[in-house]
Amino acid sequence: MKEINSMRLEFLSRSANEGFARTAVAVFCSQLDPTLDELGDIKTAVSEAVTNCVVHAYPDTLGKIMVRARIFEDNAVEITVRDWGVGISDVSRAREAMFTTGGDDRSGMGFTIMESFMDVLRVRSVPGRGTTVTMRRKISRRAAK
Amino acid sequence: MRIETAYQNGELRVMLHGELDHHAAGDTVREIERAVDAYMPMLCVVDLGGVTFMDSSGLAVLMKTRRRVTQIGGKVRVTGASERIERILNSAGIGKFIEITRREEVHIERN
Repeated sequence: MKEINSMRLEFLSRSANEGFARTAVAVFCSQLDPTLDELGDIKTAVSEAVTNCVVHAYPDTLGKIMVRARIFEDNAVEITVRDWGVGISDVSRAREAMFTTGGDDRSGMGFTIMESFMDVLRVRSVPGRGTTVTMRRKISRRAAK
Repeated sequence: MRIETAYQNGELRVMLHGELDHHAAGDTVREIERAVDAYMPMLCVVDLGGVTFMDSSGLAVLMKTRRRVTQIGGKVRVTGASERIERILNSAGIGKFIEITRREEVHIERN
């Protein structure tokens, strides 16, 4: 599938950037003319992925987070959220609903929400090297709305 | 995140306005717990009507609120959730622990 447009953001793992990242991605995606619901789903999923980096990838330090968004010919958007933090030793366990290593500050629902709000969710992680989350969501064409 | 509280006849109403994400969660929990400790309510109503964005961090805020209120023998009710927020609440099955009611049209006097 042909890529039509793309953008890349890089920022520090400060919690203030959670809002920045989801808003920036939403503004980029708005060129696909999404509904408010579609945009809300994307914002929520991006917020979950970036929050994971802030909370889990860099627990006691500030690190770099990269967010990339690509728009494809079939009106789909692919969002990649990448960190170079501690990594996840058991990805399938981390993806389970209610599982968290974050204590009662976290709900353990982040990956579940990303999964239910996006069409595709891929998580790749190497302990000590970092994690890459890739999400894809097709935006319905105006005529179908 | 802006938080307003109102207390009347054993009922503490906590009205949240703005974006409830991880960045806002810590301060939000602290403020709710402070109000719960001050009023010791029988019922704590968390009104999400003014929340324009919420992710899973909001779930942890609600569960922490529930724990604090349950410790003093009270109950928590969540109201005013938009359809999107309701989906997030349902994904975690939070209705098993906290009563969730639809948007209500009730006039509340604010302190």
